[in-house]
Amino acid sequence: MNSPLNLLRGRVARVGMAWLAAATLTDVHFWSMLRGGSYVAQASAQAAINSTLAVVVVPGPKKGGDDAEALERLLGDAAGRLDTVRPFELSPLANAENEVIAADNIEDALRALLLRTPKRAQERLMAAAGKLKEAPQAGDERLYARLYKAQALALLAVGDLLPARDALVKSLVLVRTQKEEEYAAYGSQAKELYTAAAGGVQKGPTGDVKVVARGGKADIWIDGDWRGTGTAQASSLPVGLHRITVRQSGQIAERRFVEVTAGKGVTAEFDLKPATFAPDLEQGRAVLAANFKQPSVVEDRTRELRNQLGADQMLVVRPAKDKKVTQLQGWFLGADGSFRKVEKTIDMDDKYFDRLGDFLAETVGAKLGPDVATTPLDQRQSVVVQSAGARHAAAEKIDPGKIFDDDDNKKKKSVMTQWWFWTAVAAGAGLIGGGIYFLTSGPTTEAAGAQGTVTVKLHKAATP
Amino acid sequence: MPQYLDFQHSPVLAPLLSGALALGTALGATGCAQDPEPTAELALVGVQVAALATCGGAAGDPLGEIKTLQLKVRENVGGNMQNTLKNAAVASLGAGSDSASFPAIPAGGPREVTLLGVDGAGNAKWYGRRNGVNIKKNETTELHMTMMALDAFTCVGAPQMPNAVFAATASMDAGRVLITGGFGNATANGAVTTLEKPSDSAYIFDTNMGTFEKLPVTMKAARAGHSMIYLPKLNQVLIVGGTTKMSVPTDGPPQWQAADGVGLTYEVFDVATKTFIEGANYGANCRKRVFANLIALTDDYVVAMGGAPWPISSSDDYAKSDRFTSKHSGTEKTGHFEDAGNALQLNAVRAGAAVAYMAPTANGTARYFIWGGATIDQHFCPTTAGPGDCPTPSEILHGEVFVESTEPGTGAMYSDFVLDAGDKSYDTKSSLFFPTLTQVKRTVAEGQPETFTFLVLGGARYDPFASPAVWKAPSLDDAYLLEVREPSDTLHTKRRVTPKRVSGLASGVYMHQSNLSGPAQVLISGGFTAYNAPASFSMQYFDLATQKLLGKDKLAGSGAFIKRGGHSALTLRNDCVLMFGGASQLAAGALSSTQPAVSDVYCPKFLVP
Repeated sequence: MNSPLNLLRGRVARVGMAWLAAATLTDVHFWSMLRGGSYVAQASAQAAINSTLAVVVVPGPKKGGDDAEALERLLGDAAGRLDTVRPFELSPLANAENEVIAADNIEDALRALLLRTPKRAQERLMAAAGKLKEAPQAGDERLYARLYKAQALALLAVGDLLPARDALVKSLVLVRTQKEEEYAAYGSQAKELYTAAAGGVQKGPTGDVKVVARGGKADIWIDGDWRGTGTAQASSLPVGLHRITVRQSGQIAERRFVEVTAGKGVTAEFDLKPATFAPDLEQGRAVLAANFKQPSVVEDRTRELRNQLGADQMLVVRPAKDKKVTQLQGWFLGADGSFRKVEKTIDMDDKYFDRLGDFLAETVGAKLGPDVATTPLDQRQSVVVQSAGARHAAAEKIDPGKIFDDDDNKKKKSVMTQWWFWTAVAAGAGLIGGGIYFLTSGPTTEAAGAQGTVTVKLHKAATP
Repeated sequence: MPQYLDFQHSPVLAPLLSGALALGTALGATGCAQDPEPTAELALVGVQVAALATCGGAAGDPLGEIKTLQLKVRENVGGNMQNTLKNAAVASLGAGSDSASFPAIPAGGPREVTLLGVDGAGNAKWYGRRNGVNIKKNETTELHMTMMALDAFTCVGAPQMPNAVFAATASMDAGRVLITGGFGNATANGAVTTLEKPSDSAYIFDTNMGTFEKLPVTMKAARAGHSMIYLPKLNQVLIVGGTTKMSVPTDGPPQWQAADGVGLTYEVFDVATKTFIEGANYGANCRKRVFANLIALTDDYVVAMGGAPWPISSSDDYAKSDRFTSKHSGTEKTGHFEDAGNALQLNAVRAGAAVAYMAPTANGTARYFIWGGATIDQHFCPTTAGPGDCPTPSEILHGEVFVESTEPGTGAMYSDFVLDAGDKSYDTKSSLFFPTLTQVKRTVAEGQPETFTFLVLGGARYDPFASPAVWKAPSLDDAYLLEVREPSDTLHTKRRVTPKRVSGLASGVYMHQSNLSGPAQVLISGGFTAYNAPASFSMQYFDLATQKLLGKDKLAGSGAFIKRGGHSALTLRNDCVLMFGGASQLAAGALSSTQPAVSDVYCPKFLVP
């Protein structure tokens, strides 16, 4: 539990969706390209990602099973920072595709909010919420924080102030490192909403949470922070919904919201189910460990394991460490079928995680990007629309394939001047936690807005 | 025959073509009360299964039984996801009434509108659905729905409607279905059973109105084992190939050879005028195919492929595909087949292959996955052959992908994929004919190759390398998910196909059907579990969410299924499945009745939102 690897691991937020970070980085350049008259698709930043990488760490001959698992997790996290490689999850999430689609829609919604088209944003958010509702385990804390932020801004834009406050508080409860400048591009009202909501979260009541994973080997993250293996606790968390992630190699990862209430402790139990490839992975890992000094056996088994898993590339390493360094030896199977030996000695200092990333980058021939956990949740530049025509054109650039009614000319209320709003915001932070607004409001979501009458004329089928 | 072409996951094609392009389906000709079949014709066809009832259930009168109605409205949000907008608006159905109104329904579209009919005991026994409905704001939207039995069979058809094997069906506009042809008789010919007397009759079933109309005109040629595809721009149905005779050995599935009188090219059904139009220039440029695969390209171009004799084909002519163009002069009533030369050539001579729509390419053109049906020509392996002269199992090209190009009516077939090891139970050393192929998943993730998952079920396997060559018994191993991963443009890696066996199939089966029923389940029906034996397979379903083959928990009504094979099954626009025709056994003794066709619709319980 307290080995150097585990301590280092504690500072590493789980990189669930490497592409999300890439998409955020793309935004810095997005608007200038847009103003230049050429649309650059959102996927442009990820166009270089061309393969998946599975990392398997086998324990050394003497000891170190726990360290091997920890190192495997760290290397998997580091793989998420590579620019041309996506980590192949050995603890996969079911319905991960829903996560991708939802993130795509949230990104579109945030862009729409920049362009002051809240209805378009609401359409995208409805779609995102639907995808996440369909797969409750999809979406990490950053994704939900972005969703809630976008919801808050969309609601703010149409003058629904209290729901906007509630949504933003939920976002800040999940990712508390958000800063005011991340709201600047959305206008002064957004900044004021942030200031009020963040203050409420910081000064509001707190509670404790305890997470227990059956089997005692699964890693536990609370709001993206690694908290332990098997059992984890966190105290003085802001009240509200917190995202718990539990993963173990060969097991289906599980994510869940846990509601923290003021002054109380809550316990959440997890029982992971094996992934479909678990037997193959277990057997393959055992064969690799037992035959690690026989390259021909390792190559054959690595190729087979790669096919069984469905990854494009595979790195198999075995660590040997002392108090100051980790020596890695192993083999790398490339997407082109090449198979070669790899070896590296890595100092265990405060840059250990980066050094692991460098080792991976060097091995697969990629570049190491920033740690997602240290990047802003949603940093954007503002966009200035010169005219209605330009605004419309810019809006169309968001997604040429989808057309929505442009009825976002609704006159906005000057809400920030209303005394009751700020009173409600200040008082509201401690009252949040009554379930996930928008997503878990029951099995039926009544559509707001226009209605019509349906008349059905019944018929019988012509029978023989 | 199985459904060889699955368009149900095509966002572009599905609205018009969902199930419409199921090829080689076996349907029976039907009659109607107003226009009964002549007695003489009944005597001639006589393709009825003595043991078969006319349908899987005698459902009551929905208008008499329904006391209240529940309306449920969902919207499509990104593909298959459906968000419930209105859950169970309730209205009473008064005595003698046949309509009900539901106010305050969320406007907009497209919507899925489901209606449940509840009887006096509070049981939801009847079902109706319309997809793609646009509910008008502050107005009344009138819908017509045929109420069908829920988790039970609804008989459809007309009195004295003759049964048929290997007829064809196609969905057309407005929920209508065209049904044509099929064998009407079977006779013993030594140890071989001959299927014969194909029908030239045609019928239209209207899913919304419930009508079942026998057309006053007939096809230009009687045919069975033909294929049909709806052409939305022309509002016509292209009918290709078929045969007038088939031979059923005791140790294999039915087969056809050139000597069986195969001389059928194509004709076109014009929906607006309800007339059949003969193929231009006596069907020039259209090869004579049986159970051909028809795939739709943009602008109503159609590629006809496969349909070779099976399991052996000594000519590579059938590796070539034919191209239908909808372009025609003002004096012509329809399009025509044009000489495509060696373009559009398959990488193998195929017969009874299964084809499923994949997804649009980045250019917006179509992609199709083709699986099975590869024939091996043993004639290339004389007894005097030397090393390397004979085909080997590795030369069986199990599948390929057709990619439409940006030039209208063109494309290419690619077979250079890597067949990963997958499950060892997957048989790579024999040819698979007539499996069903259904796309059950598509994954598009940034940085990862686009991945498709297809459910492949059943089929008849032929081992040309055994001595002597042999048809293998239908196997439980022929139930698997095929994961197809597209190549990466950056790495130039090959397409990769990985089979993973799915457990839970009740038995190996062929001449069955698989249909996507609603967004989340595949309904498997009928088929034969052994050669020269009565049909014994009933119904199962594959659940997309759990990726499992399941049985009775949500198919309680399946016990009433009339067991048969060689039937047709087509997903209707209300997501129920029309099952038509078929025989309890492909043998003369079992095809001697003159009962009406077995024809029914099954609406699974899992369709209820």
